[in-house]
Amino acid sequence: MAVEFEQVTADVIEANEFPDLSRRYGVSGVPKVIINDKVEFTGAVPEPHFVAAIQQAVGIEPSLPEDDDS
Amino acid sequence: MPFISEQDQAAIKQLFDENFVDPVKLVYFTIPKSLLYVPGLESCETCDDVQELLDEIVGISDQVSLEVHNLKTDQEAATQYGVSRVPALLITGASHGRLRYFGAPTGSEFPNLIHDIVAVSRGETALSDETREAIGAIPDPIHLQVFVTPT
Repeated sequence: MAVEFEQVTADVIEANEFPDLSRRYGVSGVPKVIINDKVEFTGAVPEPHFVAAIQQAVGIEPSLPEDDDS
Repeated sequence: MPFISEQDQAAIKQLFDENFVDPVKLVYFTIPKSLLYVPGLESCETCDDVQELLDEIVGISDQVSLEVHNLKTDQEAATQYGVSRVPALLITGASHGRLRYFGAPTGSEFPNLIHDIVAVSRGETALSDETREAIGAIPDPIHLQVFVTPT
């Protein structure tokens, strides 16, 4: 996403080299993703879930496809 | 003894030749171990190894360049790129946002690094159109921090 969108900064952080950061963010399994210091998840997730997590972090109603069954 | 085997170097060269669009500049922040030890000055265990790895990547393709900054002496660049920890590598080029690697991109992270270099060169990735639409609609800054391990 960082490649395509200018408002995105993506940091890949090697957990073992920065134990203080890993502690601060409670990293016990990888990959762990933290978005805007607000939303986090551990493990690989499908792309739509990643997008929903980002939307949640910026305060937008997530638009997960499977929620749309009205 | 090179970090990247000759076989891998050939494979990476082919990947770059077939996929590159724009040149890529790797901006690398380090604290070299060759500096005299000064009490209070943090040292970086992996910085010199990462420097060697990056030198090898740059040696594979003339479309990839390397700009090296010493974190301790180049405060202006550190501030400009928002870097306070090393080793820190920014992949710059046709990408719109910022892509940064903190720590040694070795083991399972190495293919991701190569893949990201190509993506930055092309300014595009394999994101779905739905994702593009959703992210494009967000005006706020989005800071993604992805913790990984090299194994």
